[in-house]
Amino acid sequence: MSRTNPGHEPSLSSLLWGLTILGFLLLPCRVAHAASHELSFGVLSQRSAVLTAEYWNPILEHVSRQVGIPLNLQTARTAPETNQAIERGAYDLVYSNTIFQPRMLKEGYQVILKPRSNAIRGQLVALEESDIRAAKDLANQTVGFPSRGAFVGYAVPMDHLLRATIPVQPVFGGNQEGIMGQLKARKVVAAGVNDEVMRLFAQRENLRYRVLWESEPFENLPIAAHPRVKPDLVAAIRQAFATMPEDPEGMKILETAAQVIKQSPPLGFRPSRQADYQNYIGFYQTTLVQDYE
Amino acid sequence: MTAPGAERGLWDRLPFVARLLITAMLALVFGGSLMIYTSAQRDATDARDDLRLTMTTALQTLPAAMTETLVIGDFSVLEQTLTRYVTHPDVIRLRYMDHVGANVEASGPEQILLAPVWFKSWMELENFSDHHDIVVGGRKYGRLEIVLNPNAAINRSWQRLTDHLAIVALAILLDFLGIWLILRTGLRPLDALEAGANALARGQLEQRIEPRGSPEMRRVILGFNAMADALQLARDEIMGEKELLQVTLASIGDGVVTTDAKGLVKFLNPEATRLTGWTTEDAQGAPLVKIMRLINEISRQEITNPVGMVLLDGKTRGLANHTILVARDGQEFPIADSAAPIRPGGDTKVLGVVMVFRDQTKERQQWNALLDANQRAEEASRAKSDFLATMSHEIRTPMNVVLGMSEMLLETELTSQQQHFVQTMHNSGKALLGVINDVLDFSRIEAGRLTLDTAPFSPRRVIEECARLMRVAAREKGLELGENILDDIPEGVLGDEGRVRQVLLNLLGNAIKFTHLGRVDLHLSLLAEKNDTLLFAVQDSGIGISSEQQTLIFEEFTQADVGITRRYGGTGLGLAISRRLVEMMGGHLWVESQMGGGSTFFFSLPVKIIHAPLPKREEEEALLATTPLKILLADDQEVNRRIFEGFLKHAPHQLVTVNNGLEALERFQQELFDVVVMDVQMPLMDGYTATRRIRQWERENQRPPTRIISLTAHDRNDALNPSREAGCDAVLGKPINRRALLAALAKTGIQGRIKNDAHPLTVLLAEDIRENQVLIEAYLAQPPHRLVIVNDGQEALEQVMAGHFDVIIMDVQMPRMDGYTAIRRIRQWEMEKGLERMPIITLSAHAISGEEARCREAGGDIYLSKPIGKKTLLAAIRQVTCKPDQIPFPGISFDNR
Repeated sequence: MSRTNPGHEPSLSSLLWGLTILGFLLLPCRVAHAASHELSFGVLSQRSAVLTAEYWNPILEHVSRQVGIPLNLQTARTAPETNQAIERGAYDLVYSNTIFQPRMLKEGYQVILKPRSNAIRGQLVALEESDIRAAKDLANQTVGFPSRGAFVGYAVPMDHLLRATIPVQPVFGGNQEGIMGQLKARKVVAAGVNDEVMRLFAQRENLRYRVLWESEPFENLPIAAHPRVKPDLVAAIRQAFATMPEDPEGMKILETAAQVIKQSPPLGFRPSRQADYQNYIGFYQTTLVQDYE
Repeated sequence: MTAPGAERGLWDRLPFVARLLITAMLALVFGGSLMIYTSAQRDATDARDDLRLTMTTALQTLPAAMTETLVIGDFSVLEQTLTRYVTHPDVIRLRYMDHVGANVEASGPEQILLAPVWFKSWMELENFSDHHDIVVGGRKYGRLEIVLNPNAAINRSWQRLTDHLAIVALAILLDFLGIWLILRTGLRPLDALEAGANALARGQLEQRIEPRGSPEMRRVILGFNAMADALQLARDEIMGEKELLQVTLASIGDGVVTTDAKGLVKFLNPEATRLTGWTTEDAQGAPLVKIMRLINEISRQEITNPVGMVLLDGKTRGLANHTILVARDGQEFPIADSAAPIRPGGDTKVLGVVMVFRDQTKERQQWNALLDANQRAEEASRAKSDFLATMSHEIRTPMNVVLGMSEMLLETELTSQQQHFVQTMHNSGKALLGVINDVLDFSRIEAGRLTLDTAPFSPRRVIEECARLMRVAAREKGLELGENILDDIPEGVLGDEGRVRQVLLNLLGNAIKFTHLGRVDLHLSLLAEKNDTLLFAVQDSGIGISSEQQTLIFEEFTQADVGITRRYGGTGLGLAISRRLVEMMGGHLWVESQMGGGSTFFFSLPVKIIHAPLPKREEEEALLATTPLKILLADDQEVNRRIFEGFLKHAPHQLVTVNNGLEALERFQQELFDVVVMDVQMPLMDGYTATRRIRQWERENQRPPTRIISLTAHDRNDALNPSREAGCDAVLGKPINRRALLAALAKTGIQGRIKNDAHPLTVLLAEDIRENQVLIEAYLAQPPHRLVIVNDGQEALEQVMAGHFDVIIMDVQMPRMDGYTAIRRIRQWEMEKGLERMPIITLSAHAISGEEARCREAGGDIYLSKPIGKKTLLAAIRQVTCKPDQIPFPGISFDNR
């Protein structure tokens, strides 16, 4: 490997390859080994792994102290990778709304907590100065979406467009911020967005926009537990999350974490049930959108 | 400095090129070493800083790159990341360890150390490691360790060091070659220069060198050629100057000898050869003292040649007078000589001595002739002075007799016609004496023997006294004599009071003589433009002088015209003498006059103003110096008594005061008094009554009458008769004048002494001229004294040794033994015998200055100049016969000129 000592390169290279293979072989063992001592907490990849860790690690550290069992953050580079892990049941606990997709349901994740924040809606929006006045004006227009994994940002508004037979040319910005930026730059004439995220963006960027269409409300991403986690442990975890806002220390952790992703109050979670997310399940069963992730 | 041939050091033996090369090489080596060392030091520091920076950068960037991977838990990516990073040349190992012991490590091969081990040790660089904990959201994921290896940095520094060494070595080599080549070619013309210089040294001044080589070398060669030109020219000039100098020295009339610094002869010019008898060839190298033998002309003693001293201290010296040069053949030459050091600069070392001497044979002969002439002139001058003295003596002696006898004759009973004849004769004698005095004065001026005294005096008082003296003569002609003295005249000045008085009296005498009607005025003021110059003026309303005559009257022996001489008499010397006297005193005498309109004679007198109080006047001192008297003052007024006491404050008198005539009478009867001063108006008993009672008491008690002076506040003339009738001897008018009072008392003193000291004195008169013997015998006949007369000093000395005399009158010009010698012998005899000094009055007919001092020096007490009046002689006798402690001012002169 060394440029100055090429004679050593073959043996080092072999060593590295060996170590790499060994690492892959050892990884599941290590995860399994960890499972007996800690719970994995999977998080749908919406942001960079570092931001995700900076947001969740303090919260999980608090909950772990409350519960007495470490909750280990698990995430992936992309949402599909996260969904694949969910689909495999890799996480003991999960923070994701993709668990309601038909292919995920078989693992049986059960909602135990939902965010204290309001329910979210999917919207189709255009700049106020634009000639686009209604969703039908989007026909044959290029409409931007965050990604195929965005539920209210893509799946819900795209479902509406399909049902309203409004053909559009979808483009993806990678995430919410990306597509809102393209809208501001007039790269797209309209965008499918999370209403709350759009509102905060427009407020920050002093952007005036028009809502062309808005969906029914959907509860935001829930925390769900895998059936393999013992109920008393689940209850303890629910309790620990749900009491954080009342606990000064917990509230402080929530506020510090919120600053990482610029999250607005109300912060924290409250106990919830699977029924609170029944409209997700219904949507997935009837949607015309086939390429959501 | 190393002497040629002496053993020298290696450096001294090295040629210039080698010295320059060594110096340059050393400088380059030193500078290069210093540069390499500092550069390597800086490299070591930079290498350490680079490693730290690398470490810091790695610890800042690598964990950030690893964080996402760690959060996701993708260790394969982590390993790839570490493996990628370990390719950095300074990084040899990266290791990540998480909290559960997972360990991911990446290592790279260590860089081969190309530098020597000592260099690595000197750089003090070893493997360098550090670690960083990776924490995200408060969770510690693990620790990253980084190990850096310094070999790459050391190799870089070593590479730079070797590069620098190579550059320095190359620079030294190029420098060496460059200098060597340049100097080798550039200094080649020096060989030609050396050859040229050697040629010049051999005297080949025509030697020149062709300019070549570098511009500097060309300039040096050109400079050498210019120097050779200058040397050739200078040699030619020196040769010329040497010839000129030799010719000059040969032409000098004085002898010239030069020596070297050791005093050995180097050169003699022809005159020196003539005088010494030595030629340059003979004398060269010989000591100068050998060829120039010097002796004193008078003592014939050897004189040390000054050449040695000149060489010693470098100062020019001359020879003493009367130096004789003894030549080689013994011939003698009187010479004047000087020896001076030879040195090129002011303070440089003396290179030798040059002696210049002149044959003074002719000069000495001329000088001796001059000395003889001067001696003859001085003898002639002495003869003239002796003649003057003799003339003075020979004329004054008979004049003394004539005046004295006529004065005595006037005291005898004569008919009026006889008295007129005698008086005329006396006046003519005095006039003749004046003429003689004028002639003598003029002679003294002409001979330059008249000297001026400088003493404080009051010009105001001189004016007053001159006016007082001449007022009688003025009144006799019916003229008024006024005096006008301005207020700003200083009280005291320095000058010759006697000569000022002489001039003023002469001018006043002329004014009175030539004025028949009107007045004569005496003015004293300051010259307008100078406040230290007095201006005297004598103004008359006389006959006046024409402008033509005004220029003549100041000529000697000249009056306005012959008629005047016949009419008014006079020698015509008075104004000439006055003018000469004024000019001697620094002033100027002139006249302003119109015929028939009177004349004014002015003379200016520069003086030095003095501010100290003036000494008392001689006359006043004489008055104060009268015989101490016991005085009875009777006056009822206290203030008058105080004034009286004040007047007598400095007089030697004893004063007793009473308030009225009765007290005066009573006191007089109780004590003896020399004089009584009696106010005429007093309570109880007035002055006249008291005087009469005193006279009566004196008669009754057979007491000699005591002098009584009456004081009156009335007109003095009115008081004269009643005072005389009451028995008073004199009258003083009030307010009392101090001078008048002192004069009255002095008169009492003289009279009282003569009267009271009635016993005759034994007087020795030494006088060779019979007429003078007769005259003085007549003076001393009344009152009678015992007079012993001798004819010369020898007889006088014998008489003194034989018996005591109360007073000795000694003429100073006598045969056998003159008066001076006799006085000195008498004083010596008195001293040897321990006897009391006998009073000696000296008489001299030499009316010349210095005579009085000569008499006093011999031992005389009083000096009298002939002719001598009776009063003067008696006053002198009284003065010297007083007890010494009663003489307040011994040595007062009674010069009656």
